[in-house]
Formats: sequence, C-alpha cells, structure tokens
Amino acid sequence: MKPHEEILRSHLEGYPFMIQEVKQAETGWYALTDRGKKRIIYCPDENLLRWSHRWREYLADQGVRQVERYLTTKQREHWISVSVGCYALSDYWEQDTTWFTHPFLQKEGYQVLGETLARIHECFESIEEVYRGRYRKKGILNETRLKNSYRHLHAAMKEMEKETMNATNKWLLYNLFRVAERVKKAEALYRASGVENDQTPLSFAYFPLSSLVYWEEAWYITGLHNPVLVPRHEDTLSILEQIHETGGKEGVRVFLSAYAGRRSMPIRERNYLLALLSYPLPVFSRLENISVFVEEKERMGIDFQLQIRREHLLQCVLETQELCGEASG
Amino acid sequence: MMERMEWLAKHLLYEYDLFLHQIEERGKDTWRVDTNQGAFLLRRMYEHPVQLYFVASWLHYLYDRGIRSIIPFCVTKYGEPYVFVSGDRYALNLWIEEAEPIRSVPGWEARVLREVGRIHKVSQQAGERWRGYAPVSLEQVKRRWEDSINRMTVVAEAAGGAGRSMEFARTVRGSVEQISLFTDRAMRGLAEVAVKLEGKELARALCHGRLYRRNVIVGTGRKLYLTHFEHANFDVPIRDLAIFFRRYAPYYEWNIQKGQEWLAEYEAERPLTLEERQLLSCYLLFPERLMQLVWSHIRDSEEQREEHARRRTKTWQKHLRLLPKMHRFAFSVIQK
Repeated sequence: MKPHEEILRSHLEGYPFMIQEVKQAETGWYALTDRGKKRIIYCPDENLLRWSHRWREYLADQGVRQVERYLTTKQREHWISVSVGCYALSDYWEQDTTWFTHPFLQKEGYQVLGETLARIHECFESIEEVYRGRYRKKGILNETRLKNSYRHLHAAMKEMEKETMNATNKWLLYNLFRVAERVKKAEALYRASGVENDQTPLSFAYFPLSSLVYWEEAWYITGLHNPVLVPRHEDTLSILEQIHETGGKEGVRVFLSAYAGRRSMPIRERNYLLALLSYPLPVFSRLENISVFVEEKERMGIDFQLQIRREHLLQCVLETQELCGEASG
Repeated sequence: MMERMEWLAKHLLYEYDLFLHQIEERGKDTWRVDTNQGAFLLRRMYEHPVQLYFVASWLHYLYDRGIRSIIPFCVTKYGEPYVFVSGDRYALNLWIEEAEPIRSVPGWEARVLREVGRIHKVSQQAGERWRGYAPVSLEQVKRRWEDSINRMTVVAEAAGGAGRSMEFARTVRGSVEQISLFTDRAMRGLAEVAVKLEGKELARALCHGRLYRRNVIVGTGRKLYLTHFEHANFDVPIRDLAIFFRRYAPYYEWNIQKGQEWLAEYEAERPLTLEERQLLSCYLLFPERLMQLVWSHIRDSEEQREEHARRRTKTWQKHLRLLPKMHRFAFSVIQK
C-alpha cells in the first residue's frame, strides 16, 4: 500500500463503515466503502471547512437536502482534524454539463441555481464571524487595481497617440476612452458598495455551473470544496457569465428572478455586482500583462467584444427590478 | 401520489445509504419501505424538531442501555434523526413485523407495564438530558379537570331539545349529580396531594404519553415493542400509569386484584414512592373516560352527534356503572 493511501485509511477509521479501498482519481481521492463510494476531502484550513460545512447544513436545515454534505464519524463529527488540516468524507455526484443544453432542464436548472445561491448568501447574513484565513482573497475590484487601471489606460493611450490615425486605430482609441468611462463608473459603484470597508460577507470567487447536477429526477449541488473566498457576488458574476453563454439573456433573467424570489439583494450588494459588471476585466486582464499595447491591438479587439457581453449582463441586472425587492424603489 | 412518494422515498433513503426496492402505504403518513438492507418504517412526523431530537436522543440512550422494547430512529449519514425536506419531516425506523395481535397475548398488560417500568427506571437514573415537551403540572391538571366539569355542565344544560343527538345530553344530565360527587372528591384529593407535595420534587422519567395497545407491536417470539414515542416528555412516571389504567382497567371492571398484579409488574422494575401512589390514586379518582365522551360530543357536528349518540350513551352508562369500582380501585392503590 502506498504511504498516502495508508495515511488516508488511518484517518478514516473513525467513520462508521468499512473502508475497502482508498484510491486516487483525476478529480481527487476516493474511498470505496461497504456503503458506496465516498469522496475524501482534504482541507488544510479547518476554518474554511467550517465555512463550507455551514452553508451546506444551512441548506439542509431549510429542507434543501440535495447538497453534498460532510458525513459524520462515529463520534458524530463532520470531519477529522489532524496536525496538517482536516479530512472529511462526502457523497458526491459527478459534475454534469449535459443539462446546460437540455431544452427542458436548462431553465429549471438556472432557477435552482438562483434559489440555491440566494440561500447560500442568506446563510451568512446573520453570522458575524468572518473568515480571515489564507483562502480569503481581495477580489476583482480593489483600490490598487482601480488605481493601476488608470495607469495602464494612460500608458496605452499615450502609445496610441504616437500611431497613425487610421480607422482601426481610431476605433481602438475610441474604445479606450469608453473603457476609461467604465472604470470611472465601476469605481463609483465600488465606493457605494462598501466593499472597500470590508462590510460585504465572503462568498465563492467562482461557482461552476457544473456544480449543479440532475440525478434521479432531482437537482443536487456537488463539489465547491476548498473555495477561494472573496467579497460576495463574484460568484453571482461567474454564474451570470456562464449562463449567458449557454442560455442567453432569457437564462440570465430566470436566474436573477429566482435569486430575487428567495433573497432581496441589498442596494450595496447590487452596486458591487454592477461595479463588477461595469469594470472591463477582459480588457484589463490583457492590459495588465503586456508591455507594449500596440503589439496586442488585434487581440484587444476580442477583449472589447467580451466586455460587450458583460454590458448585456449589466443591462439584464438593471432590468431586473425585483432584484432588490421593495428597497430598490 | 404514490409515484411522488416513491420518488421522495428514494431520495430520503439515500441519506441513509439505503436503496429502495419497494414502497407500500401502511396508513396515514406511514409507509413500509423495502431496501437493500431490509424493511423499514418511514413516517411523516409533525412534531417540532426540538421534540424529535428529544425523542430520538432518548430512544438511542435507552437502546444503548439494553432496552430492546423500543425502536430507535435510524440516523442519517449526516447524523440527524430525521430528514427535513419540502417542508416535511420524515423519520425512519426498523420495520417490526407484527406476529400476532396484542389482544391474543395473555397478560400483555403486565408485560407492557414491566417494560414501561424499566424505561422509567433507566431514564429517571439518567436525569433530564434533553428537553422536549414540558411536563404537566398539578395546576394544569386541576385546570383541565375544571374545564371538563364545565363542559359536562354545558352539555347537561343543553339537553332540553328533541332528536336523537340529544339522547346523550339527556343521559349526561341524568347523571351529573352522581358524577359531581366523584369529581368533587377527585378535586379535593388533588388539592390534598398538592399540599403534601409542596416543596417536594417528584421523580421524573421519560413518559410515553400515549400508552395504548395500538402503540405496542408483538414481534416474533411474542416480543413486545413500544412505538410512537413522539409525544413523550420528561414527566412524573405516574402520568403513563394513569393513562394505562384508565384505558385498560375498565376491561376488567376495575378489578383490584388485576390492578395490583399490574402494579407489581411495574414495581418489579421501579417501585413507587408513597407520594407517587397518592398521586396515581388521585388521578384515577377523576372520571376521565366520561369527560372524554363529553368532549367528543362537543367537538362533533350535529350529524356526527346523531350518528354517535347511541354508542356514546351506551359507553357512558357502562363507565358510569363502573365509577364506584373505579374509586375502590383508586383507593386500593394507596393501600399497598
């Protein structure tokens, strides 16, 4: 037996079933037991696992049982703590992408996602304890990034001024001005959101659509272990982008109205979501990593297109009147 | 409907790592589910989650201490005694096949009381570890009795009308005076017990609360299982005894010897204190069965009253006839 397997097996002795085999697959470690195949989750930070456990149990307490949860040991603990972190076991479902394009399931899936994400956000509403571990990141928007954005834009514009003003260059320069406007807008919304004052609860940096699976005619939430945590709504943004790609504007609307049906989004949070959508991230992802702007002119065109997609999303969020409930009045 | 239940059961059982083979409805909110690990009883529960945790914790505790006449709730793989889904709570127990009706088991009453005595003894020793429904105080009993007496007076006073539905009311009116003698005595007895017990704490134990024949299953080898603990609370054990005696002693015309035999079985596990005997005696003085008939009459619609009038009148007369015997029985409880 390999040392890894042996260590894992010894950690899992506290569970009320027979571990027949411990093996590694592409997606992680698994235990074959007399009660089926279980996923082994290793988390180096117990507080992060606690955060993850909290929303899962919250969903279950609300009657949303179809969620991957941590199984209990013989001592009724949900994980085993060791010197290097914690181990947990869970039942799991293989990530599924087939429903994204299924004519009937697609819409229902977006709806379930909207409600589920709203519930997860709701879970951390009353919890004052804030996770401050190493898996917490600053998030897409922050003071430094905004400052740097202006610097990058300024440099790019200066380079462009030296170029001959043909139609392509004119178009590029025009778009750079538009980008600058967007940064300003994003900055204003960011300041209005209060995120810079650390007032927004944390949530996933990314939420893959494939975490929702359709199994035996029921929707299950799987995975989402060891997430990077950032101020709330980057997960909303990531879902919106994925839905927009597969389900278009209609899909986005279904998701948003399901979210709003469960949880009214405070104005500050809505501001942050709008800030995220306004901020031309696709453009800056490139600008931040290039030294000579004019050499990347063609590729920049693609980034502008990507930003246009975000503008569509922004429009959808603005059009969803009910998102903030009565408070939006 | 059943299709949806089958779908739901499949997902519910998944939380226990069980796989559904077959599901069969066995009464209101009750299903037998056959799985890869045998048969189970699936029930929709209506109790508050706190109460369910209370019951589940106690049943596990009792089972761990060797009491095999109870069936603990199965625990999900996430450590919960029930599953809450779509606004409903479901609990799972091992299925016990009824081998024969309890009535056909000679001396079942004594056997049940012995098991109850054991449960009371073990839970009393453990003390109150979990909190569920609150215990019933003597003050509450007094108020309940007063309400019952008032209801009887109301029914008796309304006996003037014609029709079959009035038959029962007239019977009540005819016996109010006689019953009042007994209720007065019971009320005085309760007041005396309250004075005697002032400052004294009676022992408490896990009380089933619905100790009826329908909540007992006879398994293979005539093994008895007590079921439906959902209304249980941590209370004075006399509560269970009073409920049991009121229900089953009338079948033996409140035979004192039979009562002593039953109590002896109970006391073989958990002897009663003098105060407990006094309280039990006092509880049995009150004509609870007659009051229940009045309460059923009040709750019924006019049509239902007409429908039940004859049967209810007959039952009333039977228990009325038994009242003096019931009283002798109640007094005999104090004289060990």
